[in-house]
Amino acid sequence: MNEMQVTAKNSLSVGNSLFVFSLNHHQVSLDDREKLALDETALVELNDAVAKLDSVAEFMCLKTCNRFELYASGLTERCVEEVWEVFRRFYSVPEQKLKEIVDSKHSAQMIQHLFEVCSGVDSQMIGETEILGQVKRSFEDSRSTGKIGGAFNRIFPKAFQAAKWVRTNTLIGQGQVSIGNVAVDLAQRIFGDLTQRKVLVIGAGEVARLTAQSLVSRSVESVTFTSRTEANAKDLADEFTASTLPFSSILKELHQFDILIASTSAPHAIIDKKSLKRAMRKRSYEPLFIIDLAMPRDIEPQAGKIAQVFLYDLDDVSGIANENLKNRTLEIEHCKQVLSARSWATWLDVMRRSMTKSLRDSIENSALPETDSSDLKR
Amino acid sequence: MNLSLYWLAFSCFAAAFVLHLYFLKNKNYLSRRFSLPIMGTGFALLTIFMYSRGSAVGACPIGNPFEIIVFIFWTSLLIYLLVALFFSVNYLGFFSAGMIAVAMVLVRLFPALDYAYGEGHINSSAIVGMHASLAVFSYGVFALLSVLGIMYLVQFYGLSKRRTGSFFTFLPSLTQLEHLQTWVLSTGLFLLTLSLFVGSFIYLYDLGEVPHYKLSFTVLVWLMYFVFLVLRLLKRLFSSKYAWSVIIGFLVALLALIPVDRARQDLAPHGESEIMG
Repeated sequence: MNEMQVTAKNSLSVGNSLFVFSLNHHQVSLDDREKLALDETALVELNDAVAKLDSVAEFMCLKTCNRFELYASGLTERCVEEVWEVFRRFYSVPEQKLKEIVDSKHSAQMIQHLFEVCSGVDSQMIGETEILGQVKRSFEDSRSTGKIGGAFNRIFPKAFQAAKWVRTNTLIGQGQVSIGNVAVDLAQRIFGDLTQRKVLVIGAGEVARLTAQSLVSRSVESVTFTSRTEANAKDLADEFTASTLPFSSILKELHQFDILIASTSAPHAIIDKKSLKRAMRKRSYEPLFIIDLAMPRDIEPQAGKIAQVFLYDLDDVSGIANENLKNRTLEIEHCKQVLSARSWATWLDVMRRSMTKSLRDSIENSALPETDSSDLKR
Repeated sequence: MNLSLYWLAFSCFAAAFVLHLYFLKNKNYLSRRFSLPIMGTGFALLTIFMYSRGSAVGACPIGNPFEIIVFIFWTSLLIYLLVALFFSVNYLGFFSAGMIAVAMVLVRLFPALDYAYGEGHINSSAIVGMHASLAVFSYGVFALLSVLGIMYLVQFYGLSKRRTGSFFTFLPSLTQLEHLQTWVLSTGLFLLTLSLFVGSFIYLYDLGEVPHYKLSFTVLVWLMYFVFLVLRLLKRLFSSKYAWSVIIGFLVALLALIPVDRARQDLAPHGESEIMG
């Protein structure tokens, strides 16, 4: 009888003690997130400590740039408190303060939170796709080390499905929101495939570096760096295994490049309309895509009027990124509604399975002595 | 003549266009897996319609302006299906379906274009039929070329005006559209040249039957597309000017059909038996 009760309690408690402790960008500033970030050793220790708790049925830690989360499912009502006790030991902030900044969610809300995380709805960069891969990796790691049991095996795949659905059927991932990706998007609208395109980066600033990085990730044929300070261009070239060009040769070699990223701190334009027109003649008016991220501008604005020159300045690119971000933000509510319905259905499914299992276990346990006695009679 | 097949084909193109619009509204695009079968069904129905017309006259059904226009769009559909089978050109189906559906309605607004004709000049010899079919076939290719020109201008407009959104992202790139335009232009010009080559036999051996004004307009159309291609290959014609040229060029080519049709009427044998209409 006692054994029967324990089994029933175990099964029912699966649904009751699903929870997540989340330290994320909503509650914690970047500075604080840096201070609170757990290193690899601490992470292993936390995993080991939680694994030792008898009240925990399954758990998973998720660590990304903007969040640290601990998802768990308990066998007893005390599970939440016990995990919290372990969790707080790893942070050197007063418990009250930690309680304020840790976002904890339980039961159906935990599932909805997971769905929103996977879909990029909860991300700082709304609609980003990287998070899904990170959750999947964490899930696989935890599963391979035996930390995942029955309930998470239902919930997480459902979360991945919901994320895929949201990306396909809503506008949450539409349009690029970083300058680098906006530049890639525009370049693809002009050239299509970028694998045969040559890029020249003028200047060695951070924005130019990030934009170059986005283009390199699309496998452009080559990237060349040039800067007034040759050493800076050399550093970037080393980083991207690219080549350099003397700053004085820009105008002479301009016609060889299809994409131009300019972001120097020069006080005046370094490429005028006349030089650009000459370069365009040399390249037989093949399209030239220019992103001028400098302030003041590096390219004479009139150069944009030359045929086949597609010139975008910082305002243009930022405007596009902001517009896309606005559209994504408008889509959040719609996504949350959809995810809420799906997470609720998953919650009910987990509960139903949990109750069915406990009922089956009860019947089996109560039937067992009778079977034994009948066997004895025979 | 029963037009039910014609309207059934129209409903396929209209459905494809509306479906494309629906996906467009949801910031997505209709995959080829869905658009191709719909467009293919429309094409098959139009083919049966054209075949039944052709059977009635015992030749290629290009005996009146209505048939010529339908044949032109049938050809552009054929080229579209070939392109769509081998290349992924988003929205080509959308623009093609829209253009064909609109053209099919417009052409029926003028029932006089579908006048009765008999076994006239076109059907008098195989060589004439081949010449005319090739010429109309090349027009179909030029129709598709103008669709590509419109797509180029839309993408170009989006880039110039800093317009973003999934529609522009899914639309083929300027470079891809320009390459496709040149490929389609070469194909159209090749067919038109072949048509003129075949037609030259009629001119050489049956001089009296080719009015000079028809010859002049035909050669002018050929010359126009030839100049477009040469300028393009020399990289003297590019970007939006190229796109505008092929669109306006197609309108000019369509207008040139008026004297060509008049020539056929002038040459039609007297007392022919009317079998169409």
